[in-house]
Amino acid sequence: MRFRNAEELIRNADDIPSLPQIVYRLDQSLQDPRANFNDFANIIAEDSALSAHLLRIANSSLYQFPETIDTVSRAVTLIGTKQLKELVVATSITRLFSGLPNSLVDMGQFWQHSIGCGISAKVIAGFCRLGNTERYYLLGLLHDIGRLVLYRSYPELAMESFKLAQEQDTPLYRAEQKVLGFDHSNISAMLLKSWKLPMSVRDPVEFHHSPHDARYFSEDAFIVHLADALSHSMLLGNAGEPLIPPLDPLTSARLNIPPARLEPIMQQVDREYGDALTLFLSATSGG
Amino acid sequence: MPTLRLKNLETGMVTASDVFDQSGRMLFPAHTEISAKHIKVMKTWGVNEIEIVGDADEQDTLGPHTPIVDPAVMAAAEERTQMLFRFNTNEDDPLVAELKRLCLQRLLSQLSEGETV
Repeated sequence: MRFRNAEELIRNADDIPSLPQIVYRLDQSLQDPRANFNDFANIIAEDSALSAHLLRIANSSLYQFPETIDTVSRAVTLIGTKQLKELVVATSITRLFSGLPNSLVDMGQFWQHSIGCGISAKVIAGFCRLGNTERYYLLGLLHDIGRLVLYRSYPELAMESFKLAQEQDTPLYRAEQKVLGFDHSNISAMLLKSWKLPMSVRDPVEFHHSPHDARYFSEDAFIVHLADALSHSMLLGNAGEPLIPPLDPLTSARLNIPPARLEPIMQQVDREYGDALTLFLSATSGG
Repeated sequence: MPTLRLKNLETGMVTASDVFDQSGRMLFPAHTEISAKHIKVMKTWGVNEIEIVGDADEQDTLGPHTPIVDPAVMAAAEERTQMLFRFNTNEDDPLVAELKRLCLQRLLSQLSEGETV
């Protein structure tokens, strides 16, 4: 089976889960100038698993709030509306994909790599003094999600890519390009597009292996690019690619991150990674 | 002129160039003898490394307090790091070099704790 582009591949895959309605309703409400925190909280409260998860996040060490947050509306106030959507999307997507068994890849390892990349992207963005760092967590978390589509719906094409990467001693994404004509980052971006997520999410994800080619969000693409390498170097999980993808030589200059900054970044990632993993596991166990 | 990381600095060392914070404000000039107070100031303002006067071979590679490791463990960790970074052929990129150093450090601590990698 061959496809002209990633869009066709997504359209032909029959079992692509759709994003829960609650995400779209929340998005609408967030854009409504008349809506307030209570409206957002009410929408989230309809989904008890999501509410429980949000409360757990608000009470986790990620926010270090001195008191216990016991209502969804307080959690929403604490987390803030900008980060709220990112957190809800991240939670919903991981829930969509987590319970699925997969013979080609260890799902635990896959999510460990994705969470490692998400936390790394968030920490790097913090070091770059960018706001709304939760957004970067989402970018890192989703950067390889196209691989899941490939593994689930087209295992034979994924196998072919694995084989080619090994035979030709090349990074997996380049093998995918040879087999498919495009790679998992295009599939990720197309999947996000089918879920109507904005360009600010799709662009950095699509170009995380070639951040230079990003059309609108090149800096964010560089952040995901570095976060991917960081997550690999820290040996956090594995999403199929066993080796560290080549790093763009301009990364350091583009993000204004001197090499000495990597160590404190890694230490911060180490501190947050454990918590993020626990939170993630609690989200996917449905509680 | 070696560049030292903050944690490897010792009092009495002398700065070789002006020290700036992250936003470019000068904290203290070249040829300052470093005291405990200077180190505190650098920590406060997020300075990670500075140039000091001295021989270049003092440059910290694995840091001065690297424990002595079993050569077999070291060789295994180095081989694994080389393998992991096989697609990163631009060795002279300082970012790649640093990433590699940190990866090696991590592998070493995992290996010496008896984990398999």
